[in-house]
Amino acid sequence: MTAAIIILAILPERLYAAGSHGHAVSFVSDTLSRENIKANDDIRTDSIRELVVTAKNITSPTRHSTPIQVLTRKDIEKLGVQGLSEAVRTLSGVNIRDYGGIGGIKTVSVRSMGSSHTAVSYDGICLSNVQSGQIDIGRFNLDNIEQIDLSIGQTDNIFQSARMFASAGALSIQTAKPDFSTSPVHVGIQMKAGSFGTYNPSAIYQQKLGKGWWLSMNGDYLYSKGDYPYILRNGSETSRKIRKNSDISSGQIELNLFGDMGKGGRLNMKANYYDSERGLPGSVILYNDEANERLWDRAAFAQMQYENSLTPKWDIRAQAKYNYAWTHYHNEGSSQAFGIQDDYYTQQEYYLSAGTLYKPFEFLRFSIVEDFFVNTLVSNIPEFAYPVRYSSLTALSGQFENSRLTATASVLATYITEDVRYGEAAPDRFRLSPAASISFKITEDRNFRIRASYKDGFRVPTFNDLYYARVGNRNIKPEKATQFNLGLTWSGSIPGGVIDYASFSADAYYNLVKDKIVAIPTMFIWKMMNMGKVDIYGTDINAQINFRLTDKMSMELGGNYTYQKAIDLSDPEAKNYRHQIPYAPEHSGNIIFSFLNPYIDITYMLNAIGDRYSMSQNIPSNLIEGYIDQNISLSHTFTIKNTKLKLQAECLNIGNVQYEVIKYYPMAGRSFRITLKFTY
Amino acid sequence: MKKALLFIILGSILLSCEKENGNGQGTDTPSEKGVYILNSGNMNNNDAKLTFYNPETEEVVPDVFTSANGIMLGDTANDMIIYGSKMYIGMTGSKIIFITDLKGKKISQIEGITPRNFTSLDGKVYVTDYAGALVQIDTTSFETKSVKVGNKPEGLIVSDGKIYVANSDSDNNYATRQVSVVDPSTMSVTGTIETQANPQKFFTDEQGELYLISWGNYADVPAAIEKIDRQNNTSKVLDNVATTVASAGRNNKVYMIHTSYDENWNPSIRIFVFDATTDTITGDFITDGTTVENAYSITADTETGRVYIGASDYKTNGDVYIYSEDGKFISKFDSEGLNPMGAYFVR
Repeated sequence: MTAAIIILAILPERLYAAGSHGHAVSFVSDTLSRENIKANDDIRTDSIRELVVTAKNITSPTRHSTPIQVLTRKDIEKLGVQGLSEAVRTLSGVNIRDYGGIGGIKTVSVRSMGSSHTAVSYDGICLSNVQSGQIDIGRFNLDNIEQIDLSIGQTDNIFQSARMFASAGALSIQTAKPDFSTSPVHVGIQMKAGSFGTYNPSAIYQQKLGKGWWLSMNGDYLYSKGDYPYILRNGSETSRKIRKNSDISSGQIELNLFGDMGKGGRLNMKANYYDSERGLPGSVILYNDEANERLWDRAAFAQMQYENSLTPKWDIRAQAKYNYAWTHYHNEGSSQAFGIQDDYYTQQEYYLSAGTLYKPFEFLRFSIVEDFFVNTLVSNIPEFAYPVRYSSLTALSGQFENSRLTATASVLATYITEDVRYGEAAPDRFRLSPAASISFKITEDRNFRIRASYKDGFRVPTFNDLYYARVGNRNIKPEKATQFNLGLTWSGSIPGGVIDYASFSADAYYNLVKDKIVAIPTMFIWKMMNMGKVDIYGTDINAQINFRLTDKMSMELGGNYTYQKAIDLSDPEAKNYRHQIPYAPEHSGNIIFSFLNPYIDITYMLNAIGDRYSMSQNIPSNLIEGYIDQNISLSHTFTIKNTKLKLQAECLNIGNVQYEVIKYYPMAGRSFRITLKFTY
Repeated sequence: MKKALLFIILGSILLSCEKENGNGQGTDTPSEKGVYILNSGNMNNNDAKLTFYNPETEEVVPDVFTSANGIMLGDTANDMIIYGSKMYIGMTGSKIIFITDLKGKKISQIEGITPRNFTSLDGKVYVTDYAGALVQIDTTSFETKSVKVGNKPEGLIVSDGKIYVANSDSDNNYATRQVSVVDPSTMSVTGTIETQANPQKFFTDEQGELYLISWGNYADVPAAIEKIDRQNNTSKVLDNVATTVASAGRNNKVYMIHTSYDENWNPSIRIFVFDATTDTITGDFITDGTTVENAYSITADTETGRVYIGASDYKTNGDVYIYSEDGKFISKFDSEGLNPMGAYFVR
């Protein structure tokens, strides 16, 4: 019988390894930020210099009717974070699964609803992975990122692709747009080096091409040996070990062409290629140090976006994209007596989106957006189904907005049909997903706002869920997630004091996840089933205070705390009934403190995660102890005319804490990183 | 404010220092006679657990191996054997065999083998190795001898002085369907028997007849109960009832776990009695109206006639149900680990 267990237990990992790198993506969504440019009724802009700079891009998060958190370029630089996952984990309500090391897979989920319910978009277009549903956010280099937004529930931006309406939460990544006010050409060269044999050079070139047109090119290469030491506990014994087969080398190049044709609209084109090879160190297995799995990824995409304001009341936008993602998984275990395992997968996506925004009055707007896309998956696995999926998503929304009240309602219609070459295709699916939200300023003269939102979402089964050899189940239903949020926000400045800006938000939420798609053992093999039901409730609290000490010195203190219960209600007879689901901490939080001055900018970051369980049953042998991870970043910028040289040094995991995010995937201890960045 | 900040920072740095991991293991040691339950644990989770059960006092002693040795068993226990004064515990994921005394205290270990299942004969212990071999272990020197068999061998049994090894061929989509016959005195393969796809487990009856359970290829070849003709090295299908595990009890009765599904793959599990005299399934084992949810392993104690049924939902600690040989519930206990693989008796 354990053969079954073994096969099965291997499968999720293989499924994952095979499908985790659906690279897709992107576009510079100028409109996204434009849409967000709103009169900043919450902030007296004349009193805050710092915020004026960013206010053109973002609405104050406290104004939104659903929780949204924003990290700007400035925040990213201050934090000194390298990957997207390092940045995102500073946000509240987020759960990052990190398998350790630079090449280790990192996925994000909001409020414990699972990473498949969280959309990740790159310049306005969702990344997709129809094979496993998991997006590895570890791949993104932050060097050319302008802004990261994390929204929970349906955002107030009603003019975006229909796919963005489909998920419980969304992580939006926007790349930087050049500023040619000082020079028509910009060049940036950066070198990062870190512990455990990590090198990451990158370069960017931006060229103005005439009135309204520009071109940019950027690329980076990353190599990390990843052979970090860790402490392995085995009962009462401890030993010092080195992580093996944790290396990665990857390269990425991106080309952007942007044109503003005035009344002719705006055109934006992007092409991106990514190539990587990495070792998969696997979980630490006692007494067995073998690690032979390797993964190769090649991904390319090209996309185009056109948008125009036809009249002051009508905006239109069209997008198209082609995405290609190839994966090769290789395993050469010593127990593979008759040979090695080589799995190849190729995913392709053809994507079209068109929409319009109609604003009959200043306070009222409507949008309709249609997305149509085709996904295919091909593999060398015997008896592979060769599935093709056709998806049509239509989002219809309306919004009322004045200085005190924002009310939004939307409905998403999803229709999906599939074809397979072998076997039987899953039945067609149709579903309507409504969402509604409201934000109300309680008093005219104070910036207190109350917000409430509801969203009904679902995730479509992945190709692995449906068709993976023997495990897939064509009859499974989509997994449903219903979200409710109620919150209070405040932001503003305190006149006459050193407190330049402060904001506060507290949200209480309740989510219900039904028909959870899980692998369930049947007699000999695992099968995907709709089995689970999870009740999630909790609270997210965010606070931020900025102090202006002198003209050139300021301090910023931010923090967040999340309390969360995510309870398994699947089976009243089971031993885990009403137990906290795996990898959901009851308590988690962050503290970020920055001291900005003309000499050396200092940022300190603390990330605390409480106790979790690695398995469904909340018993001591499944407990993973909580941890506190602290980073510090020091930087200084030398400026000579238009040329800047920035030197940044970081110490990660200052406390040298040996911790795990995923059980038996140890994280690195104290490490260092240094960055030298030259820009013209 | 600044002081408060500094305090927070210092406080958190102090908090970052590692917490000592308290070892709260009990000091109970198993008594002389009793039953060990081997829990495989979840793959890649290093959570295999050995539990001791005393049928007289009904006392359950969890995690015997860690209590006795201060270290953990490791990853994915598949099978063990109690032979003479020693126990041999096979850890498939950790690729190690622990040899202990009857109280679980470690005596030695064998590495370099991916152990699956055990049997014993004439002072030697035999184990299938996932690398495609049958390995002989000397029970005093712990030296090993190995002979190549088929791909991914699983179950094995001694019959008429020979060792029969089921080669699952799981790496090759169950294409080769063979049992290897090994002469233990020379450690050489003396024959092969063509079977149904994915041969897994053997049992013998009181007349010494040899039976095989094959799991099929999960596609066109169904699972089967087969009977092996040891003279002619052939095998014939008795029944295509899908059976995961079987354990031979007294009076030529064999207990089997059987699963069937509806179209949505919801399983229904039944426990059958197979009569090895008539070679037919005679009916349900449980006769008193009680049920065992998620039956996963079954072991008959031929000394007392009791039947130990391990139950698992693959997520939480298992349960062990004890029934009389006429199918009446006696008692039940938590297996103190995930996926109880079977009961092993210290006589």
